[in-house]
Amino acid sequence: MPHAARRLHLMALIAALPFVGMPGSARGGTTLYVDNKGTDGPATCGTKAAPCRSISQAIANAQLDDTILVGAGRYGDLNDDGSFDDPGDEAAEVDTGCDCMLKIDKRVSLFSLSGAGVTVLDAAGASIAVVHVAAASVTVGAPGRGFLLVGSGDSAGLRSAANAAVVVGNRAIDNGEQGFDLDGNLHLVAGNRAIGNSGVGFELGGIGNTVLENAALYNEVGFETFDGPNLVQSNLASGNEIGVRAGGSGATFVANVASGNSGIGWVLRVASAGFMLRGNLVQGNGSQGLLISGSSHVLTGNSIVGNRLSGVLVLSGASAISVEQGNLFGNNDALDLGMRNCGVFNLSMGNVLALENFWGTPSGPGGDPGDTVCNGVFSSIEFGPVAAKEFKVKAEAAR
Amino acid sequence: MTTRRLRRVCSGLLALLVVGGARAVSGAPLLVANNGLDGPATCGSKGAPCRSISQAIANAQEGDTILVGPGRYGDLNGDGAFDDPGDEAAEVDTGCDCMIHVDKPVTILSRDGAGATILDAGSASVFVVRIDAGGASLGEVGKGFTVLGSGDSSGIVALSSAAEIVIAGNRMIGLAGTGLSLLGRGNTALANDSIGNAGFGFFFRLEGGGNSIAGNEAILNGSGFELRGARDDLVVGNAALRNEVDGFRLLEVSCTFIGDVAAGNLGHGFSLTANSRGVVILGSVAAGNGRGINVTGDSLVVSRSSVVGNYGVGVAVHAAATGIEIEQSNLFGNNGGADLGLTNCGLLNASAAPVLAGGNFWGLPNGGVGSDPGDRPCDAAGGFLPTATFSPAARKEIKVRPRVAQ
Repeated sequence: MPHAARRLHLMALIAALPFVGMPGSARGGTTLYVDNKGTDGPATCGTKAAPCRSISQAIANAQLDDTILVGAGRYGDLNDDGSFDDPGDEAAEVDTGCDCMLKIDKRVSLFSLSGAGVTVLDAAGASIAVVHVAAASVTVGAPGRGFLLVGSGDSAGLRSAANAAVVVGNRAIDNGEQGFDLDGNLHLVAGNRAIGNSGVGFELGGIGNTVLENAALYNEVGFETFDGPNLVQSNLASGNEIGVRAGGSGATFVANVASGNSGIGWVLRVASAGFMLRGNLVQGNGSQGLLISGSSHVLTGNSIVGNRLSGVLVLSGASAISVEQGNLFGNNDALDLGMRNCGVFNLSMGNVLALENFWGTPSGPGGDPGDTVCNGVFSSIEFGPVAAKEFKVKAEAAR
Repeated sequence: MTTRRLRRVCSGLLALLVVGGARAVSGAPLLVANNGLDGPATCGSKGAPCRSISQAIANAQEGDTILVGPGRYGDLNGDGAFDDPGDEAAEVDTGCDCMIHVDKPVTILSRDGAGATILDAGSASVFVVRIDAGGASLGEVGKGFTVLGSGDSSGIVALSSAAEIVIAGNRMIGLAGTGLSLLGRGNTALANDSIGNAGFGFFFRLEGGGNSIAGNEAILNGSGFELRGARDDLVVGNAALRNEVDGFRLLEVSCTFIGDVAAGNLGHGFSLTANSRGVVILGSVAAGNGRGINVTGDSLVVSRSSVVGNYGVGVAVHAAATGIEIEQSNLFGNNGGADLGLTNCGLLNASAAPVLAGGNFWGLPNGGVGSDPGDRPCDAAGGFLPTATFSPAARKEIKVRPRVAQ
């Protein structure tokens, strides 16, 4: 989908959600302004004519449900002297309080005026999160109105301990831990990018979260979910060590892409249960495509192709696993066990249902150019009937 | 800016719109798929796709299109050698020193895009893709490749002076060298992402002019974009974010930037080194970098751009620079060169030549210049530049909307 169309699509999706504040459609509060040409003043700055210099000051001056609009430029430790105590610096709390540069402790909506590419929140290597959301129903960013979150020395680009945060259109790059770290429930996380963070790109605890059209590139782990149920749709995990690592129960993953990760494409954790994976691409990863533990997972309509080891590896102890109506080919060997072309490799000591899949050839499981089924001891895979041609799986993941 | 240059810019933009990174497909394409089998001169049809791109190139004629299915291409079993059936025909420490050698003018597209189609050199000491044929294409918007796994080298390279090459829609990640290195004339680099590479995100040695570099992103590389030897080329709507050194670094270059963004880079947003001459920066933004624009070359025009919120000086003009014009732009929120003992220097002129800086907005509502919350034009001693060089100042912020994806 072209970028402009994708943005419109995302805006339409987000606008349809009832609890989301958008620029120009504030919840009824007033609008405060922050700008690189502003000057801080308790309770005095924030008008268009007298904007604040720091976002922290604008938050302090704001009332519940106010909107804060932030101009292009840089916010943080302005003169880079290693402390946040000069005029215009953000009111960071280092080794105390929130351990963060920017604390959002009121229900406000925070948008940039010119987008994440030109609005930089920079913790300058300090051991703090760049942004910490401490109040429920806070909004940070919108399509084309987000922030560039950089420079956390040992923490996250954005962290939330409250519920129902709306985090849209931001980029978290080069932080010491997670790009986005959201505990709590009912978050909307959409249209963000996490790039080159030392930890997880997007880490979500809690339940009822919607994770939509984000991209995690070149992190340790692209996406990690705990608890659930959550909806994770149309995201991209590429160039990470591990693409997706999912725990908890009841999550739905639709039309995501896990590709080109140096290790496993997608991990379903031990004790996870009841996941639905539909229409995802798990392709070209440096180890297994999917590594499955837990129980009662249904994988349908996915394309699991061209991974360096087996396409799907079902581990010992996993149960009630179904892999159906998808593509399984171009996967390679379980080298140390002398097996080749393992589209599905079952070590669960139980049965795996693998019905109606396309195995690379019309005749079903077999050797090159197709994939086959591989079983460990006391394990079996039920694979008939088979699909005679490739399924079209076209995930619309973020760029 | 001269009428002649404006005309060139417009015609270049038109050409970009027309090209769009795509080349016409003639006849049925040769197909490559993860469920294909290689065979000299026999594979490539819909019923019998090749397994390797290398085999499809060998079987192709000049002008053919090769359409690559989703999955992974390279050293398929990861045994460290490219000698098993279906492996790419890599040449390690010999020949092209590459994994895929494009030695014919062919167009190579992925069927399902970069997110689904992985070219992985598996840490071998090779270029992942090397192009030695003029007129070749790798990818187009939505039909590119993810390129990774070079152990000590670059992702996509065209090292000879081959011309009219199109590289579009690709994503180069985590390479030991540079993401994309492109030499020659009449080339197009469109909508590629270069992320986390140890060298440059993009390196262009553009000889002969007529090159278009548009819509690319360089994030977290050694430096974002390095351009050498460009002549009247167009650099439109690119973004350089959080690179370890500079965002855009120009050597021996004359080219036009339109709607580009350099933000959060630890060095300079734009760095024009000595021997750069005749650079125009329009509608672009340098924000939150070590310095905004650092100039040691000659004949720079910055117009309708924003240089805001940089750690150091907004625009630093060094001793040998001449012919510098900074006009109708925003210069504020820059910290101003604490390393030089100066403050709030939106512009610092350390050269002997005047810098024309009229019509800029310095962050003060009355059209003035000064310290916080505004910036000022500084001389090397920390004083103000002569009033005539920066008057009249703009009374309100100039609207700048870069063309990058947000």
